[in-house]
Formats: sequence, structure tokens, C-alpha cells
Amino acid sequence: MTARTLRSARPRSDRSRPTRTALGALAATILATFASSAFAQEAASAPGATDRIAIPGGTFETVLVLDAAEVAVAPFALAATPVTNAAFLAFVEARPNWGRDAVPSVFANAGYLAHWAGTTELGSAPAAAPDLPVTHVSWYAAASYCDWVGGRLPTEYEWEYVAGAGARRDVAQAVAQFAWYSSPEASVRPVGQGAPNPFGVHDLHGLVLEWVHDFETVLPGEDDGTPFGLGCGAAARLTTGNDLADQVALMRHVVRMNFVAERGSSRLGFRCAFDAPGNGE
Amino acid sequence: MFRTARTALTALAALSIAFAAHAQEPFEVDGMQFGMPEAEVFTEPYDGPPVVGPGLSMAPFLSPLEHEGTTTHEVRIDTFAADIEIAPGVRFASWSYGGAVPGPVLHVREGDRVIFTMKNRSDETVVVADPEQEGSDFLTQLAEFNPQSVQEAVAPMPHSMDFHSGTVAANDKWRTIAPGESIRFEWVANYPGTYIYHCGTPMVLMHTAMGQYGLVVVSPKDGFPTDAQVDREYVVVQSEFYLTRGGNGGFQFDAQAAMNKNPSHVVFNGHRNALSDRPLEADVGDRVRIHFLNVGPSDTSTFHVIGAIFDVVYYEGDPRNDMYAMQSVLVGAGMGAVVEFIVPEAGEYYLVDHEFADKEKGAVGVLRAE
Ligand SMILES: [Cu+2]
Repeated sequence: MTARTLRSARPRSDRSRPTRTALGALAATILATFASSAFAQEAASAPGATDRIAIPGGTFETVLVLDAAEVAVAPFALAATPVTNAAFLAFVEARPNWGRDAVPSVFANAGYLAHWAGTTELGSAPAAAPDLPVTHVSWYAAASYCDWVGGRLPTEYEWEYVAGAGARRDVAQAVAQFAWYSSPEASVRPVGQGAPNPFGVHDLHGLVLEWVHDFETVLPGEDDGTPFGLGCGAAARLTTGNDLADQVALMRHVVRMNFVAERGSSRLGFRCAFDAPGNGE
Repeated sequence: MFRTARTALTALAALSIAFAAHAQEPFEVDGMQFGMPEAEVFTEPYDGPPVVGPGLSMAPFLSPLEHEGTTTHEVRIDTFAADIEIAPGVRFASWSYGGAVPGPVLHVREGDRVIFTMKNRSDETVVVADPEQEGSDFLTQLAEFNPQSVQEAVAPMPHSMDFHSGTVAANDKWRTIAPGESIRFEWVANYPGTYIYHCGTPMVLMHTAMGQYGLVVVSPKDGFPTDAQVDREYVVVQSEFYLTRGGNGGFQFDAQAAMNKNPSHVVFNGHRNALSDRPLEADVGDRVRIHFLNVGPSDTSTFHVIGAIFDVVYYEGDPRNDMYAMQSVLVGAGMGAVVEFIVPEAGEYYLVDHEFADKEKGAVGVLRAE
């Protein structure tokens, strides 16, 4: 049985942050400065640049009361699978300043690619297998990788639109999603296995959490002192109902808001999105 | 260039703190202290023992208080996943405080201050039950007895810590931290009692059902009236598990059962056999005190000792809440009680939840008297 689990992750830079927009803009500027000298368009040959799935635009029902009832998503393309260790290794080889020994700590902290044997060597650790999803990557590194292949991280709504396809109110799937959260270790396996979802995208459920682009733009953090903080008592206000589908959706939002941008995690990977719909170069 | 960028970020962040801080001047009411410093969320390279500090034990043990009057305790309880057994053949990857479920018992005295640190290590493997590991009596006892046969597990997840024994602004102290983050905050044990601590991160039902809870015993500053007569002192923590068979041979959380308040297991001290394989001990004539906590997360407990009558019950662990000649004490989810009884003769005395469905699901233990 394959646990099918909705999950996505949204980065948070620092608890003591200035306004989101200010920091988001600043971070984006820093990132662009850091990466721009390295940009040559190698997307055509880069691993991860292929197997893009064209996603038609549409609308979907959001899970949060404070959001509008329906959210529109414009057409885009999404990678069929998360980025693998092998693909990310190619990126690091091509862009040595994203090697773990070279990257500034503001973009990736000490745990960055710590499961690899060396800066440009995957080694034999189980999590470093070439066809497994790359983990222990910071939001900045993930964003830079996607830039390198001519894309970007998907937005939260794009990710959820695709990941939730046909399953938003499916309680049976919600139960399965809880199962992934309660035992994510069971999910470690190569990307691309199992049946694709209705859009033809793999591994949106049951493999790893994934970074998305949005920089604290959707849901306020409880450290902001807003009434929508995700504490014990406040959470019930955020869901539209009391069924399991709502509960698991809420969990995704909690997870989404709680990763630190310069720090990866052992079950946190990413995939890239592309503005122009298409099926590869 | 990057140094400059960091400086700019830091300056902006400092500006933000100036606006955001809700600095509270400390104040006192009837000798109780309110107004704690703001919680601090930070990252640290810490990879040491996950439970550090005085007064931290593994149930059924309670660490004695070593200090006179009041003091300040520096306590660390890290949170991380731990694969545990809660009944013969029933294992699952729990979310733990300190590597076992329930987490460490913390013993302080009314008026004591606790400076608490927790690192969310849920995305790394953390070694527990290692006889070489120092840091607290809890880790030593876990290594020696290890009733849950703890094994390492990984389950990255945001978590938090809510001490019912503290009186603070929850949105500051009890806030959720990400894997890899740490939090430090303070609270003062203003009231004596038998208090739960637990994770308050949504879905809180899941976080508690997965194992994130423990007990704080705040002993009254002037003691209980019966302190001098007590011969044995134990800790019993009741909790529910909602498990179903998973796809990989183990068990996993059953969200539907949890929402329906239909536990698969109800146990004392984290394992169906914890108090049967290793019964509590007493001598005939002993006055036995049990600090009892019902975690829930959703069900009551009618705590009873077969063959005994509670000579006195201090409801919620406060000596002012004394009740006498109780056959049982009804304890809601997230509540506690101190019970005392006299062992009448040699034999075995079963501790049960007298709500018998719960007893059949495992809420039973033994006190053996010689
Ligand atoms: Cu938690």
C-alpha cells in the first residue's frame, strides 16, 4: 500500500523578520545577485528540464476560510517528478558556488546536502541514491536550481491545484495522508514510481515534502500576533468544516509555514514549475 | 557582498523586533510571579543528550527535590520521532519528547522558575536508551528499563510545547517551531499541581495521540499534610493510542478513530505491560502516593486501585483540593490527581481505569505488596 499524502512546504526566513514584502523583495534581490553571474541557459540539457507536464489553468476550492472561496490558477507547466540527487549533483557541478563547501550560510546552513559523501559526490548513504528525491536543500538552493533549468518553484496555489486534483473532499485519501505524516520513513523510494495523478504528475503524495515559491505571503505566522496564528486554540477557525479532509488540509498549511528558508530537512525536496506551458524543450 | 546583505537583513530584523516585542514588566500577585521574558526562537548546532537537567525522571519514578525553598531549573527536553512498542507486537513511529512516551516527568516546587529549552529534532535520528548517555535521570532510567524498546525514527514536523504548569501568553511561549529550530522560554510554577505538558501544534489531536505529552509535578511549597506518612511515591500516566495496521508491517495513526474517540489502546506509562512486567512495589501497611495524570487526549479516566480505598485525594495535585475515602477519582483529559492509600495486606493490587472498556484496552497495572 502506498501512502498518499498531500504535502508542501513554504519557507520562512527568520522569526524576527521585517514585513514579509520587504524581506521577500530583499531576499529575491540577494538571490538574483548571487545567481545572475552564473546564468547561462543550460536548461535544454539539464537534468530535470524534461518531463514537464502542461497544466491547464483553472480554479479550485481553497482550504482556508480567510482565503477567497475559489482561487484561479493560470496555465503553467510542472515537473513530472521531484528533483533527484543525480539532477541536483549536475547543478552543483555546473554551479560550484552552490556546493556545500562554498555556499554562504545565509543561503544554506550546515545541514545542506549533508547526506552526500562530498561536495560533488553522492556516496553510498541510502538517502543519497541517484534516483531518490534530493533533500537537505535550502529554499534558496531549490529556487536557484529551478532558475538554472529555466523555471521556478511552483507557487503554493499552483502546487495545491495540481496536488489536490480530484481529491479535495476525499476523506479516504485524507486518512491515507495522515498515515504518511505518522510514518514518513516508509515513503523513501525513487521518484516516478506509482501511478500519476489526473494531471499526469508523480509523487505529489507520499514521497517527500516540497518547497514552494511563496515567501510567507498567504498565511500569517503566529509569531506576528495575528488572530490567525496556528496555535492549539486558533486552528479550528481556519478550516471550513470538521471532517478529516479539512484537518489534513490544515496540517499541510502548518507544515507549509514552518520551514526555515536557509535550512533543508530530511524529508523536504522540491520540483520546478515553468511559466510557459509545454512538454520539454 | 553577502556579509553586507546579512547586515541589512539583521538591521531590518532589529527594527521589526522593536515594533513586535510585547515586553511585559514582571509583577506579583500574592507572591506569584507573572510576566516572563519573551520566548526566544533560534537555531543551534546542539546534538547532545535530548533530556538534560535536574528533576527529570521516567515514570513510574519521581526524582526527589534536592533543594530547599525555591530555585531555578534549566531544563532541556528535545522533541523527535521515536519508534516505540506500546503493547506486545504493536510498534509505531511516535512523536516523542525525549525519546519515550510519555516524555520525562519533571519535578519542581511551587515558586520554582523553569528555563526551558527545546530543539525540534524531528528530522534527525536521536540516540536514546544509551547507557553511556548522561544528561538526566530520565535517560539513565530509560536505558536501564526501556519498556518501549525504543528505536530511532524520523518524522519531520513542526512542534511546540505547552506546559499547563506555566501561566504565560501561549502565542509567545507555546509557539510552533520548525524542524531544526530551538525555542527557549521561562515559566514560574505559581500553583502546586499534577500538570500535563503537550504539543499544541495543529492538528493537536494528532500531535498528542502520536505521543507528545508528559507530566510536571509541582510540589506544594509547604508540602502535603500527609508527607510524613508517605512510604512510597510513584507516577502513573494514562494515555490513549489510536493505531491501525500500516502498510509496512507496523502500526500507524488512525485519524478516523481519533476523531471518533475510539482508541485502540489505553495504557499506563506508555505500554500495556509497563506496570505488569515491572509491578510497583510496597510493603504491607505502607502509605502509597501516586501522582496520576490522565493525558487523554479525548477520554476520561475513573482511576481505581482494586482492593484499596483512597485515604485522601488531592484533586489536581493541590493540597487544598482534599477529598477523602474515594473508591475512584474521575480525571478528565489533561488533568491529574494525587492519590494516597494504605496497603492492607500482602498481595497484588490492580490499578485500573474503572471505565472498563479502557481497562480491557490496556489501562491496568499492578502494585505488589509483600
Ligand atoms: Cu507536535
